Amino acid sequence: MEDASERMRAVRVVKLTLVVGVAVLIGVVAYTLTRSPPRVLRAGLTPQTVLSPLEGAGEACQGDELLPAHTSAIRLSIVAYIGARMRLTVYSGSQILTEGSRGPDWTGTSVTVPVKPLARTVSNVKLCVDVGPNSEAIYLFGRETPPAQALSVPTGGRLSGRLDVAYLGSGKGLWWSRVLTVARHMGLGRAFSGTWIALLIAALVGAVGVLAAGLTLRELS
Amino acid sequence: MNRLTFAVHSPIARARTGRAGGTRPSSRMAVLRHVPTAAWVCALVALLNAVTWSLIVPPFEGKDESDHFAYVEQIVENGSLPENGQPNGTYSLQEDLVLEGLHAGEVIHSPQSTSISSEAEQRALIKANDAGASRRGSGEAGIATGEPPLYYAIEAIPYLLARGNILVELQLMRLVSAIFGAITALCTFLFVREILPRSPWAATVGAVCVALEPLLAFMSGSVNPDSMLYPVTAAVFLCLARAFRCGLTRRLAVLLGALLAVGFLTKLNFLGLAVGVYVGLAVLAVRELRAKGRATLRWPLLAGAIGILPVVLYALRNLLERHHTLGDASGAGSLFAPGELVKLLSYVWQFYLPRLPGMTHYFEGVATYKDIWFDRSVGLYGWMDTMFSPWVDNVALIPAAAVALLFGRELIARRQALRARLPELGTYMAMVLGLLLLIGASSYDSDALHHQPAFGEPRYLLPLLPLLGGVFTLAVRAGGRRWSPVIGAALVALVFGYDVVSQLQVVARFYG
Repeated sequence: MEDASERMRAVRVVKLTLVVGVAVLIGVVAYTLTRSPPRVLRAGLTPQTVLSPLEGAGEACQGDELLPAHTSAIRLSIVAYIGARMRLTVYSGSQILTEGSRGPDWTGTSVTVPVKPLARTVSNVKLCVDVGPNSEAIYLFGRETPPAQALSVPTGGRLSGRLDVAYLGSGKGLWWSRVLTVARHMGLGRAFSGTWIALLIAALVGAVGVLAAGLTLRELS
Repeated sequence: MNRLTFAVHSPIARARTGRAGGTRPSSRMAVLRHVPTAAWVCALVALLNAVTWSLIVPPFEGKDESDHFAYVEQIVENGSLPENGQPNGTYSLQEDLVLEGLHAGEVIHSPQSTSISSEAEQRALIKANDAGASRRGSGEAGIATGEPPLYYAIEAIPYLLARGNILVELQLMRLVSAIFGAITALCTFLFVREILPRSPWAATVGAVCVALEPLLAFMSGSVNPDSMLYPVTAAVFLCLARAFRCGLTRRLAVLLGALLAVGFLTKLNFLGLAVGVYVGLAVLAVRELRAKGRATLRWPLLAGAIGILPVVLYALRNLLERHHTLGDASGAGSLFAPGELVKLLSYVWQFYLPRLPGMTHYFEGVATYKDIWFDRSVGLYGWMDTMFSPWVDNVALIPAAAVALLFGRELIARRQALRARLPELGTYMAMVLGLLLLIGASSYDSDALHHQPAFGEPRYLLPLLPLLGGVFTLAVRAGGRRWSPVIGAALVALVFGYDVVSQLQVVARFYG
């Protein structure tokens, strides 16, 4: 008798916990949908060449950049399998306009560093990238340019070109307003196309959740 | 299912009854009938989850998927393995056309580039897909070239079913991988119940959490031999657990040996795990020898012999054709030379753990255990180009630490029981260490010796998922009668939420 009531209590607790869990998940998804996807405020040069394989820590600066208003992150075409600490500083003359940093937890062909947004666009700024200690080579990607426009290093030398830099900020629409566009997009790129693919995915996710929760409850009771 | 029902249906109970009564299930179907319904549901969860991921991830955006596809294409279209030995192999013209139609070159490794997004691009893709160009490449398959052929031979079946349409071929091949994901969850369920039979509900929670694991679903939703390595290893764990509980019977020895052989034929990474399995067979042999005498030694020997057979045949074939005896693995011996061994061990240590004083710096500025293994375990999808923001990785430390604390608490509380099962746990640890050493040594060879990338991808650790299921189970059990239901349900909700959020991250990356 005591065992049965204990089991009933456990079932109630599990149900409640699962309901709370699903409610939190719905809340998180709903909150995310009320945010704006990132948007490229200013694209950089299409990267075409490796400017420099960087072994160990180092710094390089690039002048003549335009910092768009409301830039919340700066994306650099830097390739690494195991990233390194990055520190970005944007100068207007000798004055620091904004700065940001990123730990070594990145990998791939670009690194995005969050920065504090400014309310106005500033032209002719200097962007300095400080790459922290690293044991693997880190490759800067960009386009070859005349030396005067190229990345400069503290020793006074120049690399062979300019680094590809993209300035990111919040998009204008919310994720919520893009749901249909995203669903249509998901229906492309396959042999069978159509928005129904997004619906099928949603149904499958629902089925997975119901089965997992159902199994958890069934095994308890 | 209550405890009485479990006692009747449990694999352990069956084995015990079978031994006592001298009966055995008469057929494979009988064995399958005794698998608890919950295990099938768990497998179904993993299957549907992997199918979902296979539909979310655009074609050829699974890790190295174009190379693995090229391997299958090589087997079917040329009737040979991809081993021309050319340094710069090319895909078939038809595969290249489809990759071009998908804009794969611009999307892969570039999180800022989404997949194709207009009807015009879709029409161009379908046109490329229907071009009917040559299906013969240069005879290479990129990074997949050196891998053993079994997974690819199996994937030739869906390829043949949809032959002539690359996009359909790829989707069907992904569904086969999804079935492997389901088998992984099934074996994990049975393994966890085998090692922790007194906690059936907690074990179910542990297995469900594994079935919902997004990295497993991502890998099982793409064409990659890792997807087959996971169920093979999970089945090996299950067989070992059964052997330690009920003894290594002839049937179990043959099955374990066959699984070893399949593992060797699936992916080179299995070599690391196999070391631990052979340690387990040695431990079982010693135990059986002490208990029952020499006659029982034949079953561990049989398992080991069956398992090593493909390696022996492969070595013989290489000798006859005057290739390196162990193919790509032949060069590995030099890593263990006396001069190199200390450096190798130092590298492997730092690959996973904080550097000790006096060690050469191999990962300067990087806390490998956090920046590589933990953060990338939280989320690393696509061609390593889809990750969460760093703050998500930091938040994830909280539930991870909670599970670790609960797991540790339960281990301490049950230390007496642990002591009694040290040989079994030692075997699992040997498998873990073998795998870690193999990944670390491969990374050392690539990174430290040849200045190529290190091999820091959490997917390499997924063969250890059954043990993660055990960790979840013990964490749930640590709550006692009062808190276990809350912890278990919270874990299921958490991992399901994690899965959904990971899917949304991938959706945003490719379609946002």
